[in-house]
Amino acid sequence: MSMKAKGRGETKFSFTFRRFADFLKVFVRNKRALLGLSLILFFLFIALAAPLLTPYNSLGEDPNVKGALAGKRAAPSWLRNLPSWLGGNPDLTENMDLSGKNAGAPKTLEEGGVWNSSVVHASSSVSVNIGYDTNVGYPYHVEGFPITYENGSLAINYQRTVGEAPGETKVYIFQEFDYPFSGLPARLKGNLEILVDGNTKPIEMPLENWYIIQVDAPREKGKPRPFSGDFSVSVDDYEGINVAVANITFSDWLVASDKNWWNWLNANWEKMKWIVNEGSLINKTYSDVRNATFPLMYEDTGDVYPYYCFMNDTRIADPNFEDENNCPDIYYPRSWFSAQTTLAVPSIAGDSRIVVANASGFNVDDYISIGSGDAREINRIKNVGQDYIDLYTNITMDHSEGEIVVNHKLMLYQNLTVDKARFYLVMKVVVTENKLYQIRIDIPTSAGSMQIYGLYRGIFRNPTGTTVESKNAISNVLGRNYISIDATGSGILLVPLKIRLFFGFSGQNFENTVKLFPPDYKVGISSPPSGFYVDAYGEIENNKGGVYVCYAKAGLISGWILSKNSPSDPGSIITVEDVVALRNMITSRPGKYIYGLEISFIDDFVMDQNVTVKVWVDDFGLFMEGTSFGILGTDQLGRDLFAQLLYGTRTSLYVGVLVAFLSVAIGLVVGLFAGFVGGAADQLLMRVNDLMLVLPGLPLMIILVAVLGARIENLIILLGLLGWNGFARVVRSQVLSLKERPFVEAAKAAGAGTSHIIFRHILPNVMSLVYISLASSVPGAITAEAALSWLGFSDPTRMSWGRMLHEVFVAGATKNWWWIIPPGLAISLVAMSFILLGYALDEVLNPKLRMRR
Amino acid sequence: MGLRGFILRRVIYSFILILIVICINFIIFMKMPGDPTDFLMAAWSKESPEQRQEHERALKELWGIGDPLEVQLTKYLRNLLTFSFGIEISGRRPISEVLAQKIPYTVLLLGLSTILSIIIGIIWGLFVIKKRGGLFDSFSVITALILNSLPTFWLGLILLWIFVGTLGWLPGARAFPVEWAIPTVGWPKPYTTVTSYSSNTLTVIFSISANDAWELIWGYVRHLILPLATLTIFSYGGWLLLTRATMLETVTEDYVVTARAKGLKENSILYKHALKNASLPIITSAALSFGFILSGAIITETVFSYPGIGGWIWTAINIRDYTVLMAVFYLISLCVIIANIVADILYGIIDPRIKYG
Repeated sequence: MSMKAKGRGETKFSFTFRRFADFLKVFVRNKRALLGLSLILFFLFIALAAPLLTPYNSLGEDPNVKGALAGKRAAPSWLRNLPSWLGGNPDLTENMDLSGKNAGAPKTLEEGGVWNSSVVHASSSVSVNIGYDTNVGYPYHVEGFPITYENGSLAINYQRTVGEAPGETKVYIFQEFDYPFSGLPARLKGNLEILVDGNTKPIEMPLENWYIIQVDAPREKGKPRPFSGDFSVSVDDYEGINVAVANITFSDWLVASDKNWWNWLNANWEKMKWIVNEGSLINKTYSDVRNATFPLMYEDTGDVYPYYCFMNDTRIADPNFEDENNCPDIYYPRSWFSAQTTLAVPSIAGDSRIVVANASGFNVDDYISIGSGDAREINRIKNVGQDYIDLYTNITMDHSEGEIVVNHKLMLYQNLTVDKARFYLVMKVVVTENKLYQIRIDIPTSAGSMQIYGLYRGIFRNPTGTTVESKNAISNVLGRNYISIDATGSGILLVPLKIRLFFGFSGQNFENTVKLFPPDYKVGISSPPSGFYVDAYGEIENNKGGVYVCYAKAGLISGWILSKNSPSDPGSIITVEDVVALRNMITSRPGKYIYGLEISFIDDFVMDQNVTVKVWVDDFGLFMEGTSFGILGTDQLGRDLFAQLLYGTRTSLYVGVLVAFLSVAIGLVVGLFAGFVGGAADQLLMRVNDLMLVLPGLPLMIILVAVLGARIENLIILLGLLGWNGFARVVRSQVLSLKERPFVEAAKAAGAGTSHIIFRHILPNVMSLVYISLASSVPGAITAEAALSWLGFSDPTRMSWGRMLHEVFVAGATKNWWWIIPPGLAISLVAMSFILLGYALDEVLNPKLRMRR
Repeated sequence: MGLRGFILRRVIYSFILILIVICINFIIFMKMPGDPTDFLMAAWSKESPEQRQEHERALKELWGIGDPLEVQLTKYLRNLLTFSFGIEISGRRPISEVLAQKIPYTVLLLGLSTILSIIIGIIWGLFVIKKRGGLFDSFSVITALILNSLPTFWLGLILLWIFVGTLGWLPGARAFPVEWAIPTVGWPKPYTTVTSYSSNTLTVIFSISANDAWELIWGYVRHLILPLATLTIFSYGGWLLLTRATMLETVTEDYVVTARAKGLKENSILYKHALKNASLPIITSAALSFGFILSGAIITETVFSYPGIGGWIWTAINIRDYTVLMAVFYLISLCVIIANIVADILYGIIDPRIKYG
């Protein structure tokens, strides 16, 4: 070994290099060193090459695909092939997609799928023509929108000549595919776009639409809020003056939870209708209007409980609480009422009188005001127990340019403090002409009154009584809230359609296939291509009303196949559990299946003209998510675990090395300073050291991270700041012993200054400690970061191994050993490799530790 | 100077350290961003006004909220030094009561595991030294290294998965079977008993019948096994490596070589000569590690839902229960300081350089 001192003519660089080379020679002979170093290099390689090893991003998602890659909590693919006593599960399925190895899933036309068709004619007067139309394709060309057609679609042309109505003609569009698994897919996702055009008959006006708009008032924590609200609803007519709209009901009842209002509404629809219909002023004479009484909701239900106890502003009709005196402290007694006003055409200018009745009586401080501005009338309760209030008010109609505005204000003041309020504005909108309508809802904000929290959930009922829920019914343009009604359609389709999807065995009679979309299913639109279809949930169904009025001309539907369990969430996806027949069919055997669309033309009432209906079917395909995926399966959001594992290496190495550097650097500085300078500074630093030793490490870290935020930089700094203790002590003791050495004394005698001695004499002798400590501090840092992530305090933008284990708990997947084992194993391998490295460095650099064999 | 002077200095210094720790505690828990004192007051905002007044008054009296800084600090010092911690924000129980209930569990678990891992580590280490250099040596060291670098929560998860999920031999949570009636304070027991406690102490007077005792013990033991195993597996490695390292140092010293040359038996050399000299760092480490009992188990207790201090810290952090955190932090620091004193005293007694120096 050439441990000579620096010779003459040798540069500092080459000297250092030679020393390093000598060190390496000894180092690599050490078995532990080799093992540790090779492991570290392996992990470094993985960290750097992670993007090459997996096509997914650091969270395990595919950047090109929105949503889950495969079923949630999927198992690894190879688990399918293991024998069951090893934990294998032969019922696991894989993704059936186009590019994967199971390329048998039904493909869209653009992807090369070949769709077969079959027609069951009702009679010979029907002709059905199925072909490929290159001129029409989703996104459909819409006026004013420069969108081009895309690749065409399948066009079905139904024609019938004048004569007896032939009945139902069924057209089947289907594809055969091979399903090689014996288990269920995790999910089915499909796409379907249908465009319908055909002869229509005029819509019968007027047409009723119902809307329920939910308005939430924001909470102001701890502050009471007077319970009042001003609403104004106006109806704009795009194209003309004449309009519509009739009853607007304002109610301020609240329901127990987000979902229950729908149930309540459904259950009480008759009451609602009665209240609105019977109480409506349309078609009534002026004198009727003047004397009309608007009954309360629930007035005739025979409810025993005129008071309802409210908890947190939700109404609970609890039979135990009969009146406000019996409400427990947390319930606020309320009375409520609904009042209606009607805008009728022609206008009812002049005096009108609306009487609002409350069967349970009002409180003394209640008052109701109607009208706006100077015309506002406030009527106070005069006597306790008085059960009506006379409202005298002017309801005026302004026929200004294209606009009829009614400002209708209803306010109920009560001496109550509530934390949160929720209003439902129930509107029945009656459309009288074939136009586009917009209803504008202004809820002005003013101090102390209700503010718009969010407007959403319009409910759209068609005349036949079934409902379509329109989540996007309300749009917010330029800060104003609108509901658009498109009544521009020319009418009802003369030949209404019924559309269903079906699954079957290959070769099975179509009648016996498993149909999805039994009659009350709806097909919703998730991303309409243009503004016309903003409230574009439509029904295509066979019902007496036929295709819904507004969309007769161009009903464009695209989106997910729906699940029958969530009519309130049309964008959802069928889960196979919901459809029992489908499940029974698919699990019966692997084999060839067919998947298709059944379009029924219900041609049963037109006899006096030829009818034509054109239906275009586009982008019809199916993707079946597997219950197994990839090398390590997926997590609870369908993200690839293997990619997460690979990218976790980056975080761990990054954090570990940086923290080690930081803590060693701080410890070095502190130790050098304390050891060499000594005296008071030494004492002080050592006391600080003691203090940090005494404070509990993990709890302190958790608290600091919880307060300061869980970004990775914070983590690194915190861990570094909490970890310099041990090394500082070691450096200090080493410096103390070095201080007494003769060469230091000699340097002092020669007149060297403090910093010279520290940097040129002491520091080089401490460097071996530094290297060792660098290597040995990494495992602690990595484990601490893993522990913090596991507890939940991890940087949300980065995946780390601890976070993977945290997700195990979040997903409740403690049985998924393929998820639990790899991250922990990786952590311990990385930690161990650095420990080995540290040990090896220790042995090489510190001869005293070399074992005497 | 001698031993007495040494001990006296350490005690005084530790007391100063305690005061400083209390001050830091004060800064963290009373003055952090997020304003804990407001939080303390706000926790009662949902109550009726009278109760609120009452609580605010109590808080003011105890912690001096709203008073100037010095007053708050002195009150804080007084409170912590006399162990009056006030009331939990969440459960509204007096903290000392809950502490008295939870500390025994933690001490049981961690005390046992520390003792076990020390014993296992030392004995194994001695074996390793006896047969040093061979396969057994490498195997032991490598296993110790591996097990020590496993994350504890992962180890716990694996054990959960094997013994609870797959095999179902052992229960996976709590410290005692669910079927036992659980009074709000005191130890749960499968028989009637009389328990009395005051806010600072816990006295349990109970009578057991002979065949119940075994059930009582076994019930607790069943739930202890897994967390105990996790902690012990994780930490015995440290002791093994420490023993091995210190023994290696002494075993290569000259006097041991001399002793061997003199012909003494290997065992006697090991235990009489080498171990005695090597034991100094081991003993002081052991004393220190007992100080970390209270703080050491957040992760394990969370994994196994064990109702000890660790789990309590975790829930308290999640719901921002500052009073609890204050108390527990302080107690942990106190324990460590006391353990330091003990370790120093032991060091002083054992190391002749100090005793006679």
